Amino acid sequence: MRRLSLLLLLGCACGPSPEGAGLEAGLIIQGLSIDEIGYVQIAVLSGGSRFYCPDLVKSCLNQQVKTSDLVQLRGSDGQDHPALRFAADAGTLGSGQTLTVSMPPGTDYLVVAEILSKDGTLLKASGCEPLPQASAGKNQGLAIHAALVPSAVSCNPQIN
Amino acid sequence: MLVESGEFERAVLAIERALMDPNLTGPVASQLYELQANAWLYLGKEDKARLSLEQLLRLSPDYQLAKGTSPKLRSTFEGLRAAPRPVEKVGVESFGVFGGAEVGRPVELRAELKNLPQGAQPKVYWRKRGAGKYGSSGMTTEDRSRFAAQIPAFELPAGENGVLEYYLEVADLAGRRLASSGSAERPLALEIAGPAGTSGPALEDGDPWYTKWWVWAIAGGLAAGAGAAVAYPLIKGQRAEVPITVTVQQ
Repeated sequence: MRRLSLLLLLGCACGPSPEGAGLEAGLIIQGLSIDEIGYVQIAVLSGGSRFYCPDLVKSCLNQQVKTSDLVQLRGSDGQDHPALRFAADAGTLGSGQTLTVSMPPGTDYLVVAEILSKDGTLLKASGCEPLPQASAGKNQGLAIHAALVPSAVSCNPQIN
Repeated sequence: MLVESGEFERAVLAIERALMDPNLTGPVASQLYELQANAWLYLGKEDKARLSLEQLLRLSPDYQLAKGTSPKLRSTFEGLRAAPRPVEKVGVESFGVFGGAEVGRPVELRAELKNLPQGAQPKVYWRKRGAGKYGSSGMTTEDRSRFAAQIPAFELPAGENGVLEYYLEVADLAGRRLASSGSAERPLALEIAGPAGTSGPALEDGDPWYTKWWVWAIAGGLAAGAGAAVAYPLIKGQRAEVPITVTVQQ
């Protein structure tokens, strides 16, 4: 299985950044043109074992959970947000780089990564992965594989 | 009984207090919930009566209401039994050591919990590393969300840099496990420092974040106890940095 890694810009957790949003044009992933992809949105659910990943990734997370389920993530603006959106960086596409998300230490988290359209209003792919424990300071890396959602899903995934 | 004499508001308060008793047993709690539901119903608080009945059913799914129970209450109860509402899972928001861990001083453990049903009790367990059996203690609270417990000084490893193993478990009055942090098989670990004035403990790499809380309290120049009110927000302010790599599958 070939995987396309999306670089998520470190320190760009305050929201979409137009200059970092461009991906290599012309590349197709399962019928999805890569230049349709604009952002990656990260959200973390508390009480993660209450949720079932295969269901969550079928459509927009914001339609399936309550705001109170979301762990507040610290953006590069120093403020806490229910989700962070990062622009993908075409220059490092495929190199498997990693972003770092700042969250309160805790246990039983579930991290959801949603791949958003160029304008950020459509869900293109979604993946989630349990995070059993987030300790203060640096933690081990977490890999999330996002699967494409059916084109019939037309919800606006933005969590603000 | 206060409920029978019509002093329903006083009854509700008395029952609330009784339900917070850490020594309460399941059968007694079930009866208290029934009384509480009755009292709320008489006070016209049907939503609260329903909540009491839900707590009762979670505790005792096969519970039979007393004869003579009002038809309305019985109908609500049977309806809830037939189609229970989904239960919010109890969450351990945080759990860890507060104020340092040092030979000769008790260790204070604090926990923040959410969605804790009435009657459910958090309990901490501990042992010296290598010992077979865990000691235990219930946790006290003022608001049913923040809890504290102390491990007595004599329970700590005697030598310098001994390791204390501990964990948190939340159970309902029927003894069913609702949530935990660590477990008997995989306890959290805390290295105990020598007496004050000696060098501080060096925590093992990979120790859970909560074992390091005390470091923050001391780094802030805060003594346990007197500085507690100030130290708590410091503890709360810690952040976890999690590297996340996202891939799109093909």
